[in-house]
Amino acid sequence: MLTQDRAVQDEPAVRRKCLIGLTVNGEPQEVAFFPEKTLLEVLREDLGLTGTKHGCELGECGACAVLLDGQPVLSCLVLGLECQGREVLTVEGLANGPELHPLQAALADLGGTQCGYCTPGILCVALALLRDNPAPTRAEIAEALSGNLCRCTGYHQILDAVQEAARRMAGGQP
Amino acid sequence: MMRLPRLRYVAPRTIREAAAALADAGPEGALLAGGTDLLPNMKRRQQVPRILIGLRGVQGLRVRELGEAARLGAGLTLSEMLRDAALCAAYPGLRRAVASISTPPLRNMGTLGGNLCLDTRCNYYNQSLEWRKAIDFCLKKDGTICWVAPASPRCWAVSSSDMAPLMVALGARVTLQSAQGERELAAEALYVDDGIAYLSRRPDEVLTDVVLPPHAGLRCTYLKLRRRGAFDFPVLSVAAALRLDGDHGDAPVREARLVLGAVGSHPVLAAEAGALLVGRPLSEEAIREAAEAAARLAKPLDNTDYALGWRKRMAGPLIAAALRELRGDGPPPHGELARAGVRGRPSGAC
Amino acid sequence: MPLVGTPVPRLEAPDKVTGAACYVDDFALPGMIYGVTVRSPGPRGRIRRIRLGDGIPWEEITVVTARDIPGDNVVALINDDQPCLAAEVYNHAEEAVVLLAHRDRALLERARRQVHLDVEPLPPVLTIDDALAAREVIWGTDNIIKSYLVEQGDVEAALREADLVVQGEYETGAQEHLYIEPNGMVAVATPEDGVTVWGSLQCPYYVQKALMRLFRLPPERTRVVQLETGGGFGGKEDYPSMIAAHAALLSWKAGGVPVKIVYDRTEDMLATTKRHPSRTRHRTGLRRDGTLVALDIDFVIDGGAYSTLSQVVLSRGTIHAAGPYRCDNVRIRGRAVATNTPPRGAFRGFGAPQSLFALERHLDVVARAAGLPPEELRRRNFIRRGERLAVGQQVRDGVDLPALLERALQVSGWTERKNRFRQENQRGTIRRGLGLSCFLHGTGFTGSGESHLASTVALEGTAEGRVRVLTSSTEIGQGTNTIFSQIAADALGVGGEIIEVPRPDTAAVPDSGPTVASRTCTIVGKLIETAALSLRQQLLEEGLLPLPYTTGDFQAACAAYVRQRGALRATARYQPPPGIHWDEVRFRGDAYGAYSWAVYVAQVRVDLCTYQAQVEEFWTVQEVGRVVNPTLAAGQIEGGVAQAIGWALYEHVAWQEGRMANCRMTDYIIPTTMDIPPIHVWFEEAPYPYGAFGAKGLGELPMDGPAPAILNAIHDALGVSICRVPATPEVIYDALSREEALV
Repeated sequence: MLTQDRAVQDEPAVRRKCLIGLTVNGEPQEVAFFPEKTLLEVLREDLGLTGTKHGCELGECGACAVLLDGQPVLSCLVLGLECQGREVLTVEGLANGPELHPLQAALADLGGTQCGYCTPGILCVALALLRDNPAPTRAEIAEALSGNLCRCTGYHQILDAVQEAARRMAGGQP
Repeated sequence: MMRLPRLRYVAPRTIREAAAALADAGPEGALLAGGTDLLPNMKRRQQVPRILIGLRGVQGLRVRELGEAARLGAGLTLSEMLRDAALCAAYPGLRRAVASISTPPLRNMGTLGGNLCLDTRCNYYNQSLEWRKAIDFCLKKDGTICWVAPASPRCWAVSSSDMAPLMVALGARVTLQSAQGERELAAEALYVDDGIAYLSRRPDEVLTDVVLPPHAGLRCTYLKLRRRGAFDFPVLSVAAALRLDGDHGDAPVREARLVLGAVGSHPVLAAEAGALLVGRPLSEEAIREAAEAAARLAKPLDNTDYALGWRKRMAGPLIAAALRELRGDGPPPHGELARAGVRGRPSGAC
Repeated sequence: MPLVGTPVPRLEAPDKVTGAACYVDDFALPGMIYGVTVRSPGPRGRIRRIRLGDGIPWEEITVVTARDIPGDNVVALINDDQPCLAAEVYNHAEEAVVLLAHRDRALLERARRQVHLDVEPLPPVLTIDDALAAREVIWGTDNIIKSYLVEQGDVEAALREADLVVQGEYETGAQEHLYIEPNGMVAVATPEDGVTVWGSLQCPYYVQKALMRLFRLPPERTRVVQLETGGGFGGKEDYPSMIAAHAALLSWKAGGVPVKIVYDRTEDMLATTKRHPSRTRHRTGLRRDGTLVALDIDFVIDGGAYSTLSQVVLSRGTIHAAGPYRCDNVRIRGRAVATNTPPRGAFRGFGAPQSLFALERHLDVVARAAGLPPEELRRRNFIRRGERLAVGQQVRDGVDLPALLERALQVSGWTERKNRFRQENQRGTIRRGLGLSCFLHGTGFTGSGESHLASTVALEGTAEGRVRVLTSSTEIGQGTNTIFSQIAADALGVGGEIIEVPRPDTAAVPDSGPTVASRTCTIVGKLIETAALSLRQQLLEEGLLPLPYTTGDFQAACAAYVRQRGALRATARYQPPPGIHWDEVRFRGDAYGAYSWAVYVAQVRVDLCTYQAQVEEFWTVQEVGRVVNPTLAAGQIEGGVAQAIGWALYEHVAWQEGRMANCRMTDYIIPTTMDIPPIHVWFEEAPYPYGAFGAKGLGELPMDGPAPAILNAIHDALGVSICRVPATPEVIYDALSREEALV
């Protein structure tokens, strides 16, 4: 650590990890990390939750979207320590045990996941959408997902899947 | 992964504490609101503050009052403004501008104050450290030359905020607080035509709130050019606010403020063009004259997405389209407003 | 119940929707450290010295340069001209020069910034014209990496005698793959145990070949394992060999410690491959009745600084340049040139989108000149069964292009819409237009490629009564796992639940060739079908399988076989379909075993105020043989159309001294949900006897047709011909201004 600090003068010499408590996928967690870590890095590297992906790290692709206090945010641009006392939901928190959430099931059934790399972010954003708007129009789904880039599907099968999930959640049979 | 530089984080509880922390930190400090502008810039080492003063927990930055006029806390997220139906109905141009910013998740993070203070942007500046090192950096950060205009002594990075031109057009007023006290100034006075020192905000001041003018009788709109229906910064935008002497679109103009965004280092208020409209109804002739006068002020440089000539060419038509909309012609068919979007699933597909 | 032809859900989807899928950056080994790359500063120059700056504990950091390479300093592929690390000279910006590894990523980042390259810049060649002028020679003797000539009949005489000759020049820009998962690799390498890499890749055996040469190791000590791969589109065909090599060199020097290299987005965009930019010139002769009598085509692609796959891209582009038409007199000159830009590589379509863009755009110009509707000119010249393509290949498929065209015109409401737009376009500032394109895409490798590959697959019955499908074909989002399980299950006559498709690992699977060229389902699938029949035959011959049998019977038979006889395994090796001949020297013959055929229609609106063009609706009609999985197949078509809409209208790679300037996802514009129109997908199915259950290739097809259809629609809307993609507002504005200046 000393050699590193000597090496670079443009950064503060004092290195202290911060310790925060937060709820991740319903479970209270305590985690210590350096203050410059983003929520994405804390999730992936300190909590071992690698389901959340990084596509650009600059807020330009949507792959790292998670729900923070219920709102979709890009975890690559949230400081970990600003999550003290807050609730985080990641893709790992969607399923109920072995039972997939209707959104997960619909995406799997209808071609809404191809390479799968944008899928965790899309699931989190769509989950918040259906909570606030249980019967969205196709245009509303497209608008909600306009911050999640997908290079495989051309988006239609994703939109199909979200519509189908809404139907299933409203009590319609799959 | 691109990592943030080492930093220290301070979490003040009050505006006074935040201002004090900012004063203490001096040039090493920066305010962190939504983080959507500052953190990418820090990952690319365009900005390297050592102390981040987090505004999340600060009381008093999230005021939202709507009466005859509106007062909006700088800490409101863009989504919170968008979800406020009464606010959006009172100021339709505000709704349009907020909805055009980036993407839904980023609007959940980004704040009004953050967007008003958005760092200026440039093709030579918004690059990774290695990329900038390969061109020996630029005037705005670590270098000595502005690559957009190498003979120029100043930086020409572009004001790319959507809120800034809108607030200038509305004639909104902003409040700044420091350890010394508070001051209020017109939104247009917040901006300076310089890519580096683009704000008149002193380094120890916190932007706390924005006061909008009375909405009764106000007509305002915002048009933005970009390539996609999401994500993109404006490469040209027009904010227009009018008051007419009467209820109908053909009544004479009492007051007009036209503002161009993303054509320079600050939002450009086209005062002369606005004056040309006063006392006249919004006839095609009046619109054309005003648009021509305003478009003359659009002197974009070649430092954003889109070719320079085309951006310059677009200013007049976009201003005219904004004025026609305010006359009551209905939403213009341009840019994202015309986006086909994703309609129904095609029937009969496989 | 048969599975082929049904929408079986994606096999690995449960992992992908729960976050359990393991991509390279989710993969870790004990003691793993991290690697980064120091790259060349400009497009061309000499490396004088590598200086390690102050303030870094260099003794803690693993530093690798070209001198540390145990074998040959090449990324072995075709010509072996590309070094793994630049030694004395660099030939493009962002070429790898020095590698560093350490466990602390923050320190590593600071160390990277303290490696200084003292260089002497040399004059670069940056454009196709500069390369052809050859004032600076940077590759071979004339900057030409490869050239091909297709000749049939007498083009000059036919042009002299033609009633009408129409010329045109067409350009396409580079395109970034922009798979959402950036490239990455993990490697463990020692002289004792050899090299093992895990990573994001399309072609395990390409990576193995490159590593063997670099480390002088035999195949059994060079192991490549694919991890879940977040999209490829050709972008993870050749470049992963480079990253695997880098990670392995670092691990080798660090004494066998596992090393991970994962690119960040900017590095991925700056350093890895792109679609080849192209320029095509057409001279077309026709008779008064619209019959094509001469096609003279000059097709040039920009390969970048090293040859990588350029000659193969060129051959496909050259063969597709004359499209699905019959013409007695054809000359196609294809050339791939070198420039001092990062090497271009494979990208969905592989040269065909470029040359088909030029042809299909040009034919609309020709139709106007001939006074014919664009669909009529094409209808009069479509190739028919039994006729010969420009390379001399006789078309054996049951192709019926007139029927595909009629279907496309009918489902798009072509005539009605055209009439309506003609009226509506008289008013206001919005212009609408319709455009179409007719095209083909050859299935599998070009020429003798498949014979040279001689792909092999194996099926293995287990003691638990399950069947494992062993191939090196990778799942990169397109559905390999799922269609392979469908094919194997149906060929064996069992339920899909007993089929396993393990992840490709060169230590465990035979070489079934690379995952490219729309070959996976049709060619590798066919081998699986063949091997499955042979496995079933073994059980029948041993009398272990009753007839008829249930899945349970089959499982019991497998288990019994393994118990009684040992390993139950069947393999199949590629055999070209009968009567297929390709003459590599004369570049003539049967270029592909089969072609897929398509007609696409685009409806576009152009705003005369902003000059922005948008696709409002898109119709695709294609004949791809048997459709194995309708959901996955539609997903390929829709995704390909979306990627091609990006190429046609939005995706502009801005170059600055041979370096990508807009190397960020916010400035390199790919479509969002807000930019994609409704896409209609219709399949016509004419089973191909030599493809799995009748399947032909379909993954690349949808990349070929949209760009010309969209630009033809712009021509229809504005009456102005745009000859380059992407057709950004600037390009449309310039074209309209030129037109006005001429009037």
